[in-house]
Amino acid sequence: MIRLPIFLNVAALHIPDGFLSVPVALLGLLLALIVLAYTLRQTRDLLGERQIPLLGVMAAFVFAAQSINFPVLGGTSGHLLGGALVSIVVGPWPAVLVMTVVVGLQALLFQDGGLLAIGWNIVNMAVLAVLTGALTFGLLKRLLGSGRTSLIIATMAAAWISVVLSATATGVELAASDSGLLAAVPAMAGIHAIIGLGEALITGAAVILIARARPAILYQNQDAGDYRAAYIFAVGLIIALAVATFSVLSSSLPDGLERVALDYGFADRALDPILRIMPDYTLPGIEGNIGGIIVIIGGAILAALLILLVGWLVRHRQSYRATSGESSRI
Amino acid sequence: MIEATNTDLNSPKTESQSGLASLDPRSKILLACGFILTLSLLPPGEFLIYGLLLIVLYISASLSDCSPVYLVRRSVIALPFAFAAVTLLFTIPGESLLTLPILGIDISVEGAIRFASIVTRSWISVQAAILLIILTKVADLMWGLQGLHTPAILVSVAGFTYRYLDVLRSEASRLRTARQARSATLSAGRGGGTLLWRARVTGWMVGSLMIRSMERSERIYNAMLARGYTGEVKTLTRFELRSRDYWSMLVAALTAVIIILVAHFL
Repeated sequence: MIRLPIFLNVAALHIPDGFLSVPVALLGLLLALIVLAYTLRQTRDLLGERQIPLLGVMAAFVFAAQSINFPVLGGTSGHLLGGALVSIVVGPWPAVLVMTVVVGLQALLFQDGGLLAIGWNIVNMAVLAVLTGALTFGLLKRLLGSGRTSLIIATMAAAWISVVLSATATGVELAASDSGLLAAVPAMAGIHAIIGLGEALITGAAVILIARARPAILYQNQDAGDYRAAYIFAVGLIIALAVATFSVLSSSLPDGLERVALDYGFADRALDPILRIMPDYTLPGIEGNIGGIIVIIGGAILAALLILLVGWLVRHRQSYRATSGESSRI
Repeated sequence: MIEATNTDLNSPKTESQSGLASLDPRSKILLACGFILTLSLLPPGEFLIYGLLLIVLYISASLSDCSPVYLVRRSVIALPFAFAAVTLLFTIPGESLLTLPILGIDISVEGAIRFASIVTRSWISVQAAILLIILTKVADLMWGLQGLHTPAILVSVAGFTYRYLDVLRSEASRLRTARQARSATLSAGRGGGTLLWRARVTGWMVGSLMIRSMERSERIYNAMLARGYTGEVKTLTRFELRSRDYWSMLVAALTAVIIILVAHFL
């Protein structure tokens, strides 16, 4: 059962052991522990004994759904990642638990993703994907109203953004472990910008089908935990991702500078720090990647600002509406 | 089509009770993680030491009645990700090993060493993880995780997931069979219809699988209530740490420290 790399397989997001440096891996474990502790507190009240079979079956569903292939071109096929879908249907915090179990079992039972790298794999696929999916879905639903078209748009945007952001985060973690892997950031983001389209189409169709066949399922979880907290967490994670991308970029430039210094014979390392942000500097061999990274950082910061702005506007408008006695649309 | 699932649960789990297999699940989890941590702490380029650790792994596998050949066969799962490391060949500065003919890009010696180190360590780590799951029954693994203070909710959700994994997978494979029976494919292996249509069909399959799963979880819950479920899963599994657990962990920890020190300072 050799899995061919031609599979546009989202398994490319599962970082195996050996790629992350030990400090980076430990940081990921710490972050995952903190978020999980918070998630367990969030879900403690709504998790009656009834919820445990539901969440367990949902996690098994994610495994099964990932085995439904989506034929793309020739022999290649893609499949669902599922973070955004589960997040939309069962609510963000229970979805974090479901996806954590999925990622954990993938590592333990199937060696899809490493045991030490499990922290970051959880953060990327179970936390970042789920919460940013919930944030995007929630914001767009609020902005666009409750029609079917707005449901489709919000779902597809949520799926796409969740995949692209978790892929970008994966790239940043690789680059933070080894500056030679800097190119992983634009590569991951770029490839998954395309894979994310498949995720968006599949998730959109799935949610529409559920909305038609069993609308109750889609709305029974509206009170599944604190959505506001999930949105705040998501915004925080996006900002952290932007900052991390930034610092990875700036800390890995000296490596390249040393090479320049060697090439030109002044290797005595008395390099002015200002040189490190020299704008027209490019790494030999991967020209254009720096441009790509800057675009991603800019995009991430812009997205974070936009989300903050929109969030503020929405809250402002809501409180305005509340004071003027008009009933809220949601 | 049916075998398109990307993982197999029916791996030959040895029923052996020799070697590592006889240890407490907690010790096995800790040993596997410690082994992988040791590998990650080694500097790049120490291929002799990587080889040594691989031999240690193979010897422990053989002593536990697990063939190293099986470990190698299953370890190909980690291969695709190795492509992510390819850029190391070009971005690490250093003496040129060879220049790619058309592109004119240099592959440096240091880059090649870093690339080979990452891929090798990753490959060995995967085999350690495979050995862990071969030598530990899933129920015991869950018990071990709980023993290592994994939150109880996560462990019980994971237990349910494992229980229903095959059930939902066969549900998914029935959906795939139905799709195959109803949609024409061209001989080149291309699916019928437009890309958008194929994506929509996949989405509908996923959606209906989700509805079926949720309804099934209702039935499961009711069936469990009928059997006295109170939210707590009880297992018959009981383990305790014995002297062989302490000894193996002590020996492993000492060896790891020595190997790491040797690799860094000699």
